[in-house]
Amino acid sequence: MSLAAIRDDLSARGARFIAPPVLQPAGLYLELVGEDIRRRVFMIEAEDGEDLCLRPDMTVPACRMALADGLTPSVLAYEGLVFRRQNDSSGKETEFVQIGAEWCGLSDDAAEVDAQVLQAALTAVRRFGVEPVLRLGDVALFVATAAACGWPAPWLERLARGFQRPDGAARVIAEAGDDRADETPAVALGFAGLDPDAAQAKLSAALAQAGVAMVGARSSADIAARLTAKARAAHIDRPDQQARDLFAKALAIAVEPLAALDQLSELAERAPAPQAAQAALAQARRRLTLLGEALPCDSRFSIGFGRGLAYYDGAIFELECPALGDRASLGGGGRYDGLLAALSLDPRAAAARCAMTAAGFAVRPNRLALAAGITP
Amino acid sequence: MSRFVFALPSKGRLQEQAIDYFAARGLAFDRDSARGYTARLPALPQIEVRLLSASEIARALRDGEVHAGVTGEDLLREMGSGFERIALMAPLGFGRADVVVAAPAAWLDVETVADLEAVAAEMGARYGRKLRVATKFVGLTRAFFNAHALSDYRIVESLGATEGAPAAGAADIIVDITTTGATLKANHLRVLSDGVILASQAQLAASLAADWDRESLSGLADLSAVLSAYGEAAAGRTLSVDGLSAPQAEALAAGFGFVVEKAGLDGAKEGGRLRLRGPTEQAASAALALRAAGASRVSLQAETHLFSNTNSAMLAFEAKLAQKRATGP
Repeated sequence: MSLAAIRDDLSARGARFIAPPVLQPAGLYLELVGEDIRRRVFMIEAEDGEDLCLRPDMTVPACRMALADGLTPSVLAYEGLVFRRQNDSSGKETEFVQIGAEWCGLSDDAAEVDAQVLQAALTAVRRFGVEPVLRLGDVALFVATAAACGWPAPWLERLARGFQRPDGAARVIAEAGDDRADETPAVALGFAGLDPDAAQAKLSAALAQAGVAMVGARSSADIAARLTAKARAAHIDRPDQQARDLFAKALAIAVEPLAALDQLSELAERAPAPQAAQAALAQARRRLTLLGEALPCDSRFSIGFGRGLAYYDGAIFELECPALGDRASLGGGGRYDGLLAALSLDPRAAAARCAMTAAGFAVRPNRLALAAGITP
Repeated sequence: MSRFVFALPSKGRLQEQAIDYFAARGLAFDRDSARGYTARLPALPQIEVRLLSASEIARALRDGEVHAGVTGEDLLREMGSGFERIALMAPLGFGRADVVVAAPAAWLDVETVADLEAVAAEMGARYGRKLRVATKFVGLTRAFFNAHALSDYRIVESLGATEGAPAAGAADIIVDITTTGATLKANHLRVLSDGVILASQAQLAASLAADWDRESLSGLADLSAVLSAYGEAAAGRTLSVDGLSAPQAEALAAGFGFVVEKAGLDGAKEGGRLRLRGPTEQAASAALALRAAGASRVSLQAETHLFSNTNSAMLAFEAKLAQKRATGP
C-alpha cells in the first residue's frame, strides 16, 4: 500500500515516528501567525488557563516535541489528522490526514537538508503514482536579490513582511516609487537628519504644542526613532528607479528552476550590489544540483512564491496537481529556521532556547489518492 | 400563515429617531405601554412589532427570529458570515457613526494601516508581544485587518469604554465607533487616515433566515411600499400646466427633466390640464420657464407618497430569498 511505502521510506531516511497531541496551545499559533489564525483553526476556550486549539498543522506540534526532547538533532516523522476551519461555502475539508517529517537541527549544510526534504516529499507523492507539478521559491533569495538590486536595509524589512501577502512585493515596489512619500509629516517635521536625542526632543515639542499626551506602551524614544527611520526611508534611503525596475524584473522570472537561477544570476551581475545575492544563489543552485533527476519535468521557480505562512525563511515549495483543480495542493514544505527560536518563547521550552535549523514537508494522502484516480 | 414580525429598537436615541422616521412617513407607532415589549402600528395592523435592543435585533435577524427590523449597519456586519443571512432593504439616514481604527495621537509616525503593520512588527522585537487592539467589533476588526494583510496583532475584547484602553495600558490601539471624534480626542487618540472600517447608519434590514410565507412577505411588502412611496414622492414634484399646447409644454419641461405623467384612469387628461413630473431641484426653474412661455396657470405640488406598481427593494429581497432557498440553508 502506498501509505505504508511512505512510512517505510521515511523510516529508511532515519526518521522516528512521533504522535504529537491533537490539542495545542492556541496562544502559540496566535503569536506565530497572528489573529487571522482564529478564522482558520478550531478554538477551545478554557474556563481558566490557556485556550487550546485542534492542531491545524503538524510542523508546529512536531517542533514543540523536538524542543521538549532537548533538541537532539533528529528527523521526526508523523502521520495524523489536522483540522482547519473553512468557510461554509468553500467545500474544503475541515479535517484531513497529513504525513510528513521535520528535519530538526541536523546539519549545517542547509542546501543538503533542503534537497533531502524535497526528495522525500517527491518520493512520497510518487508512491501514489502521481507526478506532481513543483512550485519552488526561496524567501532568503527573495531578500538577497532585493539587496543585490540596491534596496536599502529598511526597505528589505518591508519587502520581507510583504512577502506573506499574494501581492505584497508589488505593493511595496509601488510604495517605494510613490513620490507622495515626500509629503509624509515625518519628512515635513524634518526628522530625517536628526540624531536620537534631537528627534526625541523634537517629538516632545510637537506633542506639547498639539496638547497631546503620551498614551500606551510605546516609548517616545521608539516613536522618535521610527519617525527618523520613516523619514529616511521615504527620502534618503529610498530604492531608486533602477533598484525598483530590477527587482520587479527579478520577481517576474517564473520558469524552470535552473533557467530561473541563470536569469537571476545574470540579473544580479548587472545589479548595483551583485555580491549580496551570491551566497543565496549558490545555496539555491546547490539544492537543485543535489536534487538532480528527482526534479519533476513540470517545475517552476520564482523568488516571489510563498505559501502564506509567516514562518518560512528559506526554500519553500508546493506540490500541485492541476487535474484536481486550480492550485490544488498535494503537499508542501520548506525551511523555517526561525520557527524553533520563536517556539522556544513557549515557557515550557524556554530552557532550550537557541537558534536551530529546521526544514520539513507534509503531504495529504486523501488528495494523493484522488490525484492517483484522476491522472493516468 | 405567520404574522410579519418587525423589530424596533427598544431604547435610546436610535429608537427616537426610528419612531420619528416612521411617523414622518405616515407610520406612527402606538407604543403598548402595558407590556413594553411590543408596540402596534395602527396603519399596518397586521404587523407584529417587537421592541428589542439594537444588538438583539441584529442577532434576531441573523437567527430568523424576526422578519425585519431597524438597527445599525455596524452591528449587522459585525456578525461576519451571519451577515450573509441578512438583506439590507434601505439605509435610513440616521444613527450615523463610523467604525474606525484609532491609535494614540502621540504616534506621529503612524498615519496609515501600513504604518501600523511596521509598528506591529516592531512591537514583537521591542516589547516581546503583539500589538494589542481593544474592540467590541471583533469580526469587523479581523475582516478589515485581514483585507489589509495585517495579522501581527492580538484582539483584546472590550465591552465598554474602549477608548480608555490605551491609556489604561490594556491595549495599544482601538477599533471603536465614533460620531464626532470628540471622545477619541479627549483620550488622546487619532483615527488613521485610511482607518474608517465602516461608515455606518441605521438600516431597514430583513432576515433571509426567517420563515417567509405569503402573509409575512406581504407584511414586508406593505411596509417597504410605504417607505419607498415616501422616498419616491420626496424625490420629485408634480407640475400642472394650463394654457399651453401639449407639445410646447412637453418640449419646454423636458429641458428640466420633466416628463408627462401617464394618463388618468379614464385615459383622459384631467380637465385639459397637462401634468408633468420631474426632479424637485429643477421644479421651480421649470415652472418659471413654462410661465414665461405663456402658460396661464402653473402649479407645483409635493405629494407625501407616490405608490408605484413595482417596488424594487422588495423585488431585490425576493430574488435574494429565492437564491437562498435554491442554494440550501
